[in-house]
Amino acid sequence: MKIAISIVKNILQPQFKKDNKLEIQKLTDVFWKNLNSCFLDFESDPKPLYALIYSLELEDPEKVISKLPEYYATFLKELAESYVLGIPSYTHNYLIQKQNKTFLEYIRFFKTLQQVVKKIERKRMKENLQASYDRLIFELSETNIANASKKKGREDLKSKMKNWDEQLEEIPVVSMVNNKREKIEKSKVISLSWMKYASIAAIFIIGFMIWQPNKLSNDKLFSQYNSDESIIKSIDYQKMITISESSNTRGGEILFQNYSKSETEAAITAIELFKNENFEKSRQILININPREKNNQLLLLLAIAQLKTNHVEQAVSNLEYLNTISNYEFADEVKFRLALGYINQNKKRNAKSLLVYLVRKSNKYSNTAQEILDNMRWF
Amino acid sequence: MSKKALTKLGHLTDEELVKLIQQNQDYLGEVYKRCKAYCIQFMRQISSNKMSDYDLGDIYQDAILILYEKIIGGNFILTASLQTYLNSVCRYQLLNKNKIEIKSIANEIDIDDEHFKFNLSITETLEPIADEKESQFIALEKALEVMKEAGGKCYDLLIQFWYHKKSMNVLASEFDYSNDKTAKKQKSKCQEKLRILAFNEMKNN
Repeated sequence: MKIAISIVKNILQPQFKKDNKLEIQKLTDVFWKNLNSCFLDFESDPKPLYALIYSLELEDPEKVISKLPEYYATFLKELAESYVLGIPSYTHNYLIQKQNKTFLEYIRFFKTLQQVVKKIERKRMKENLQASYDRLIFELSETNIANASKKKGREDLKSKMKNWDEQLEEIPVVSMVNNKREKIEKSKVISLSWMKYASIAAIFIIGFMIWQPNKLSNDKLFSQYNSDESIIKSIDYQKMITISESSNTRGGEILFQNYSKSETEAAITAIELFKNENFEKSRQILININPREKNNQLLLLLAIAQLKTNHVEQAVSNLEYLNTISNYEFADEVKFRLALGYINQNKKRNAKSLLVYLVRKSNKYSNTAQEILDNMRWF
Repeated sequence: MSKKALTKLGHLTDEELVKLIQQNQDYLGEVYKRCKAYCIQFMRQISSNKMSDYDLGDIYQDAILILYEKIIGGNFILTASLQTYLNSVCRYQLLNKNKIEIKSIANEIDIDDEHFKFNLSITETLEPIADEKESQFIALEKALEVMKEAGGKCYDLLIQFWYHKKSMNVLASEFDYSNDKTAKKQKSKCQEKLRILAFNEMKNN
């Protein structure tokens, strides 16, 4: 009875207390005892329960009464639970004798639940008896952490090696042992020891360094920047026309320094061809007028045309010459073209020093020079 | 040499262990480890039939569960050592559950050795699981599995309450509820959720 009264009290007291007109002194032990008795028979005869609630003279008794079926279900549920848990109570027997269907259903549910939980948990506990001891004595020392980290690291590495193994197994490796008597029919997969794994890892790293996937080869670098026509167009051609007004000519004809009229015309044609990116014809014309001996400005055009037409050796020679001239008006262009020539010739150290110079000088070639340095392979 | 000394918690007395098990089931692991070797040896020597280590281990594990369920049931009184209790439970399991013929022990083992003592009056067995084949049982088992897979606190809350018999106060503290009333409310909600899941299971099968 005690347990049942306690359950009823727990369910209904908070509801009564919500009412503004409740006189708390009316909630005596006798009241709760009576309420419990009435609650037990709520399904068959709810009127005594209603009467008891009305006797409290609440402001809104209907608010509680309307929810009584819900409270009754909770009451039976909690009683059934206490019954299954083995808490003795006269109320249990009373409801069983009365064959209260809802109560009996709840008992069945909780009994089954208890058995199911017991089955599951017994199985889990049996499997975890050793683990529970380990948990109990578990101490996390710095050595444990270090060992765990080491183990994890090794496992990760082993997992990677497993992947490598899978890749390796796809390529059959024929045994190197030459046995004359037995013809080797099946290919063998070499078993890899730690040393072998380390060697493979080293090969991968070296291969990666050689490959340098993010870098461009010399040839690619050369072709990419040698064909960058925007740089060609950036050359100030007006600077090239070093005018020499010949006193012998009428009207002060414009001639290139050290050039005759016909040579000047040839040079102009070469410049026009150069501007139109016809480097081969431009080169041929320029060679004929021998700029190395006569005109350093035109020599630059020849050198660029030579670079463009894959006459790199001659180009580099001409550019090296131009690079020695002090106060040369196209010094930056020379250095840039010479660097490209060196890249083509795989003279990276020479190329780098020129490019670094251009980057530091902060001129129109600085950004491109930096770009080439970034894309250049380490060796 | 005593096996007790080999465990890290060998300094704990049996009485202390029983108390600790009530608070933390992991201490059962200490009992398990502490008494296993002698109990298996004891069973091996008293049984006339040759049983596999696996079977003997299984009987020993059942004995541990019997001890645990007794402790959490609140009706365990330690009248002898835990080793004696477990020896006795295992002996009874061999006799009754496994129908093993028990040899005359006098010639086989040193009965004065405290590790091989047993009590004939201990006749406890692991209470069998009832109604395993019932549809409601199967449905509830599946429903619990669904609940476990779904995550959240419900599964553990119900296991701790229904098997480990944890009080609402303990559950409130273990599951971070503000008080025992909140824990009770949550448990009721979980039970209702489980009931619906089980009902749906039964409906679908």
